[in-house]
Amino acid sequence: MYTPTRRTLMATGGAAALGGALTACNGGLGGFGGGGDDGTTTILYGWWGSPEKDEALFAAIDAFNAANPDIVVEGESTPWEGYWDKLATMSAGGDAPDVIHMSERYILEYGERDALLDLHSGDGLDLSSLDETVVALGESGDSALYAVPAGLNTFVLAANIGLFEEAGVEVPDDTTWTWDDYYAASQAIADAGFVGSNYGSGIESLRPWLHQHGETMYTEDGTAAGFDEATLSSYLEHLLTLREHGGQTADQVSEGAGMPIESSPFANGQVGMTWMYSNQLGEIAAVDDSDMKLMRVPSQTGQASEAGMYYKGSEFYSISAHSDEDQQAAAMRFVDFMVNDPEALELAGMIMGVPPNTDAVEQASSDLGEMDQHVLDFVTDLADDLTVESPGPSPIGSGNIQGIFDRETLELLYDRITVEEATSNIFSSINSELG
Amino acid sequence: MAILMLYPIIWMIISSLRPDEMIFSQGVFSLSDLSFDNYREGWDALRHPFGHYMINSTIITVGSIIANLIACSMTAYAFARLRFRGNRLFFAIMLLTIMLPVHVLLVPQYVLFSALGWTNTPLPFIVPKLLATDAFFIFLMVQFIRGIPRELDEAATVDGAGPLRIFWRIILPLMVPALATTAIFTFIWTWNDFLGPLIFLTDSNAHTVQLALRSFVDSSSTGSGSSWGALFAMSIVSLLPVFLIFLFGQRFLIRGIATTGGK
Amino acid sequence: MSALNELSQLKLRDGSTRSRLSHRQKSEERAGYAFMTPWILGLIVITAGPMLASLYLSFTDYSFLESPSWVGLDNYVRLLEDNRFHQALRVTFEYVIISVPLQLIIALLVAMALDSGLRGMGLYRSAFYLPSLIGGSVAIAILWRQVFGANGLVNQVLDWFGIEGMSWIAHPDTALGTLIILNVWTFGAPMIIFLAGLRQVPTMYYEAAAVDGASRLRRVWHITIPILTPIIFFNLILQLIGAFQAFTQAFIISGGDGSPSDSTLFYTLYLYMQGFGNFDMGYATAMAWVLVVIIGGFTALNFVASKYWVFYDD
Repeated sequence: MYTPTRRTLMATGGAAALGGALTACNGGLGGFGGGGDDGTTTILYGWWGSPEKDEALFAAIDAFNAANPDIVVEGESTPWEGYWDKLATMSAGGDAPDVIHMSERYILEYGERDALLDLHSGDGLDLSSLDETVVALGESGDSALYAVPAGLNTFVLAANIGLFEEAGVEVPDDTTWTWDDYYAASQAIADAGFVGSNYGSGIESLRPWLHQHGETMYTEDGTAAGFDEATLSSYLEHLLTLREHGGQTADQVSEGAGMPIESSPFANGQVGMTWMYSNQLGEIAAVDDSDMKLMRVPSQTGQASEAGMYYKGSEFYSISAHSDEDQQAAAMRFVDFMVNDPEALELAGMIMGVPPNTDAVEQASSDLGEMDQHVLDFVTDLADDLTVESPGPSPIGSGNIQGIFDRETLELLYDRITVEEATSNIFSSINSELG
Repeated sequence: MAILMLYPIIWMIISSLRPDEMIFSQGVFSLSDLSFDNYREGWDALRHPFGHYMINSTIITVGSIIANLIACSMTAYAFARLRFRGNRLFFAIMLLTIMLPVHVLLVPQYVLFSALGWTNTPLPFIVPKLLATDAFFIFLMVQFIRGIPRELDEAATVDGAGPLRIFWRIILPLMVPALATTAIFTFIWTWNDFLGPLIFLTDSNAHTVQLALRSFVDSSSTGSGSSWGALFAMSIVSLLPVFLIFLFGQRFLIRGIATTGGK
Repeated sequence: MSALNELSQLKLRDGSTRSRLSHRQKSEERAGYAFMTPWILGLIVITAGPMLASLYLSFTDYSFLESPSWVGLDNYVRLLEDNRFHQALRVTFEYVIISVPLQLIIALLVAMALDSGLRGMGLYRSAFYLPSLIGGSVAIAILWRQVFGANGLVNQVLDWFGIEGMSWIAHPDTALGTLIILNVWTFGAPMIIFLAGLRQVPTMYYEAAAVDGASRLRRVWHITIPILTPIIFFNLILQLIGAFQAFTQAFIISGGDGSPSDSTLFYTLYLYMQGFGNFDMGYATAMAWVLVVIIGGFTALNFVASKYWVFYDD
């Protein structure tokens, strides 16, 4: 009745051919081994990438491999979207990379579950050129060093100078300004038809406020909120005050949530001031060519040293606790190279934030664009104004807290809940997440 | 209505021709400053030329299509036409397998394929399909086969044809629209899959198009810069084969009528 | 596992009459297992292991990094008291109940409109499929804000009519609606399946009806729809399963945390946040199995109901 068509025949033949090709493939491709036959140690370094960062890190790896013939570092770049899912999955399968690119949020999640090597425990990593407070960014409560910062940044304000000029408003002096000065500047921008300021992001902008009141985000053991409900209330009241003085509408806050900063209204020249990580300024400057400037956080007293600002590790290097001993030793040498070697620092530049190695910062800054140079100077100069201890890595179980905070403040800005309700919701949520 | 459908693609094409800084700030229909720079830069911006990732994706995709066509049509025929003990129970189990969210299967699957040494090969994508794990298409084909009049089988049985012959001579030719649908969807879904390649392909040499596309964007809060223009440009490039396959493949949906109508 | 039992009770009609010779039955049974071999192998080698592993994990405390430790029913008990879990259930049910029927109806109508042999129809079909192609890409998050944002296209159109809009995507009351629209808009997959189904309607039926002088509408209602019911049923079941598991679009558009104000906190999104964000994989797998029971229940109901409206030709 029917004869098979030429198409189906081709499909069947193709399948047989592919079966053969696959078997050939299986032997040929992939798979990273441990030690090589020739006495070299092969280690795998995994990070989340962007085209620019990949180029720099692969170049640094090549430089390291050339200088260390007994070690072969293999690089592996994964997109940010998916990096943590993949790291968790590979760790569960016992296949985590030997050198792991880390973020502040996950240091303790991995470290306290014995997945990361205590870097204090081995040799080969020289930390002498790093400030103690910088090293502390990767330390657990009982001083196990799970991660070394690859770069520093800080959560501060940025001002669009061009927009201030257009609005005829003077840019406040950020070394002496108070919250009232900040409200006034925001109001003046708003009066000129723009948006004065946004509110900052969740707990990052809450932290300086808490520090200004002598409190911290978490208790030292990381099992509860480290602040009073009253202080949290005062912060939420501050958000409402800012809303009265040219702050963004709730709609604007909500629309911007989770979006790339390049697409934000600030980057498009509609907002006078914005809260951001210092290293994001470079990205924004690429979008908007008007003049941008980082500004210290306002204080209660008009003294920048009392503004409660702090350094944050933007990205970190960690070493897997499950790698072989030779691989861990090789990984230590590689991390040491990335942190201390002038060539590595020059290649990485400001891509991962301001290099924490104060001796070698000169190398990194040899060839920077104007905006990167400004960020570097700002972050370096800020050291004098840092008076509080840098907060350690986020405690275990704090993964959802940022989201809870954003949710409640948005409800507040929409006037769907009161300050009292928001305060008690946030407070109890934090304690139940950590508990 | 067509405008409603075409708007996003027009927007993507225009964005792909713009410098990064204009993608977010300009309205759709301002057409100044257009250039192909993003395409030139995007093609070479990653570790390998973009074509390399397209070839990897093609290998996985073609293998998946062939595997699905063979395995799903066989299984579906058995489910729809053959009586054997366990038929209904197996069918229920098959449906059950697509009800579990994929996220909780990632770790066990990774452990399995890693133990088999299949990471960084196309095997984790193709072998499961050869073993008829794509329940969606089995169910689809079952529904199509059950729409084929049974008198045709029975006439062939009277002529002495066995199940294999009926499957090959009667069922397969009559379900060309379902096979075309399966091929088209397998192509699109495999081509667009991100999670599978993310977990099973670590070596950038083995990366697929979707991994490459995500690599243009570092959306971490400390992000080191994203190449939006390149992302849009390469997104268009990666959509081209999909669109062509679709245009080509949907002809078989028409060809189906000729076969069916001719009896 | 009750879903499985219910499903297995359902009668998949075998069609063939019971009065066959027993050696025929035996050879049919052998052929059945032969054709099923790949699937059975796949079940044993590929599918069953990970599924059983996840079932086991749902009774443990498991963080990826440490060995799972048995906690009995703790994870399931926790679900009863978890307010965000309840919110996720509400959001997901609302999404399923509104978007699945809407999407199916639109897909069916468009498929019937496009079901003609006219030249150029291929381009049209492709155009209607386009949204589905890019519906899951990163770019869609940006696009959707340009459409449903405060200064978006929707508000510009409303403005012509003197209506003042709002930020549809930003407000907790309307954000889910924009995701439902996104889902309905990507109706390409069910549309193509409907098209394939329409291709399979034997033309002889139409010819017979034309002789009887039936109107076009009558032909659609009395011939096309009944013959299409197995395909409608298929699309209904699969869209239902898909909608209960909806993840990608919510993940991309909400920035991954169900914002604003948990109004787009889909079931699998919350599951993902608990599992991968909070390292609580035991809890996440418990959520996954609860979802299996929910989806299984809905599917079983539909299989029962299908006896009354789905017509098979066998």
